[in-house]
Amino acid sequence: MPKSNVLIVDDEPQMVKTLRVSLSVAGHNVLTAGTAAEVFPILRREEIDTVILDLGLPDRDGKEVIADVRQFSDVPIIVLSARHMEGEKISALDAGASDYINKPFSMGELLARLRVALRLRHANGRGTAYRGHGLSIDFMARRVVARDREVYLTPKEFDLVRILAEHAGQVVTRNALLAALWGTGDRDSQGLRVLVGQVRQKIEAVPGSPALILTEPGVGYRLRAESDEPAGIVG
Amino acid sequence: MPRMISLPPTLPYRQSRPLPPKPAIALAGPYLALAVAIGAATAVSAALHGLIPEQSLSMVYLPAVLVCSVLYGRSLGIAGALLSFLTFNVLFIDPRFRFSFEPVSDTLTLAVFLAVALLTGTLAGRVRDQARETAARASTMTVLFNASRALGTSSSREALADILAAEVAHVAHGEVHVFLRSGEAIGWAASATVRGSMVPGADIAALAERAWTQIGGTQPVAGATPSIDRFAIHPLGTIRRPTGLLLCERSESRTSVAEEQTISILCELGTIALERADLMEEMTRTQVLAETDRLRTALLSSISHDFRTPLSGILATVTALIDQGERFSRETAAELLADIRDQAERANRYVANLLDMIKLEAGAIKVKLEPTDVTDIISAAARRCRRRGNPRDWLRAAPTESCLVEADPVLLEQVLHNVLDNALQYSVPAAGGDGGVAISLHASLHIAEIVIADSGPGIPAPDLERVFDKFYRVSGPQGGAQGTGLGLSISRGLIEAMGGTVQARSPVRGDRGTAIHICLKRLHES
Repeated sequence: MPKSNVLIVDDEPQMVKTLRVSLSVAGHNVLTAGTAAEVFPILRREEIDTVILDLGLPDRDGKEVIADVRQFSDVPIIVLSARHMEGEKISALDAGASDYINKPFSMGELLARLRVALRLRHANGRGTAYRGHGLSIDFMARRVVARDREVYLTPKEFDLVRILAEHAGQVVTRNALLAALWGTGDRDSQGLRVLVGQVRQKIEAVPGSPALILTEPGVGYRLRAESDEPAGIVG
Repeated sequence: MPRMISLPPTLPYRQSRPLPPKPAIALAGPYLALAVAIGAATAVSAALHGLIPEQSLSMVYLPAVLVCSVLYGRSLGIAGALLSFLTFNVLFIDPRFRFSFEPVSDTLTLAVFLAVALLTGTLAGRVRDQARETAARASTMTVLFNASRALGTSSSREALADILAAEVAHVAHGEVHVFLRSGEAIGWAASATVRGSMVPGADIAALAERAWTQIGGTQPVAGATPSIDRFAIHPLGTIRRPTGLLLCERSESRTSVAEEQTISILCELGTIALERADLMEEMTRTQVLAETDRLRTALLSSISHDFRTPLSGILATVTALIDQGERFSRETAAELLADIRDQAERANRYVANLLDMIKLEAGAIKVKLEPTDVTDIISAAARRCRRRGNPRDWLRAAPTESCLVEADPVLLEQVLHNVLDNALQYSVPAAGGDGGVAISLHASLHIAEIVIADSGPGIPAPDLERVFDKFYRVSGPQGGAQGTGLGLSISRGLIEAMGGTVQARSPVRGDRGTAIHICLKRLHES
């Protein structure tokens, strides 16, 4: 695999430096921008594979930057947010961010998210199956096998699993799931919670403490990446 | 809430001071005038006697009757009419020098005299009453106007109570005591007599408390002025709750209905003013609360940004070393460790600043003033900024002459370090000769001024004072500013505690740079 180009957008010099060093030894080409204004020329000039974007930029709201980038590029954007406000993350994701990570984060966790983003970008949505953690999903045959046993899902349950699997390793917001499954951004996510519960009953080894479909409190759900390393110490 | 005040129909004629007793001449005036008028009429009649028919001479007395009626009213007019008739009858009607009564002609003459006296007296009296009433009304208006203006000049409850007591005392010509509510109880606020303010005895306070328990807590009955002993009680009531009591001495000989009404209006004016004072106090409290709230928000956002940023950096770097340690070169690893140290220092600095600020606000910082060499302290503070690199590389100029000031050396070093640290953050490198930070010292006879000038982008004039606000940071895409927004605020607090002043000026040279001017009291070697 050729070296991927990662653009880091952050105004904290120390953070930029650490990210640059870590991502470099992890085999990435690192470009940096300190302000939102610097982002666009770089994106137009370079082949960027992933953007790591701090939401707290000095010159512009990160959500606007994401929306503007989405006008001309579908490059994966991983959002760094020091704000523990779910609203911020949801807005960023709804504006088109691919994933988010809370500050403070561990470098291992960030590298894992970066790998997921890059893999999904290279797969480019053409994935036809998911295989990992004792779960395998065949998108075409609509077949699901959990721990060597075929499980039967209702059409809606399968659609939920498929959407999560297509973004395996990344968060999918409740709004996105509601829109995809029910065709509305219905405010009432009760139905969605029930549906997730049903799927967990069928595929999780211990439905009460899910290891496959993980809840991102207040934001949405995330299916574990097909191959992930231990996420590190900070969550 | 505007309140209509209706003026009393009749108003106290008396001015604010009791009138002196009228001299005897003034009391006798009307009768003297009567005698003069009739005497004059008699003299004219005597002169005309024989020239015109006697009956026509009665016409000469008519002006005398008229004058008496116009000047002194109906009763004196009637007296004038009777006296004129008598004089005229005795002196000029046959038989002369003897009273005689000719039924037809004398009845006519007397009737005309009396009619003129009655008619003129009544009319003149009415006009005079009107004039007097107008004057009285004007004087009450003046009293109320002055009171209202006086009440409008102050917004402190105590001052308002003083004004109210004085104004009512002038109208009532007696002792006036004002008691104001504090909590559920009532407390003395002001007392006055016509001669000035006074302090009431314990009996007055007891009386007020008794009256308060009667009306206190409940809505005051509008217009009710229950009297106890020699005082009339006026509740200073508002719609929301009674604000206090006004005790006004009754003086049975003087207090008229009109004065009572004036006093009631004064009480209402006072109540409105007191209510306004309460509202303003409440408003001030609300503003203080809002300010506290703003600071709390600023503190929270500062903690979530300024404290977590270095911590995030530390965690990211440490986990990078843990996860990928063996893949870093020796130099890179050492550099990352140095970064961790810097970030930890930054977090520590933040906590130290925050604690300083809290201590300063709680008054827990003890200032120990002693003769201190500024130059010495400046170089110590510059040494502490070494982590920014060797001071030789960023300190463009520094004073060398020693200069004594009155200061706390430890706190002064802290201030200079804060200001230097801040200046360095916004400065460009000193390489070009114009960059870095310059410290200069200007000593006059009594004041030593330390000026720390940076080579940053400067601060717009409207924001110059705000740099000393807590958590204030120069806005805009500066980037890289790692301050807490507390350093300068703390510095000002400390310098002021040492009796000095701090100011910011910008630009310093061209359109760039900010200079912090610190003035301290200069001392001389004895």
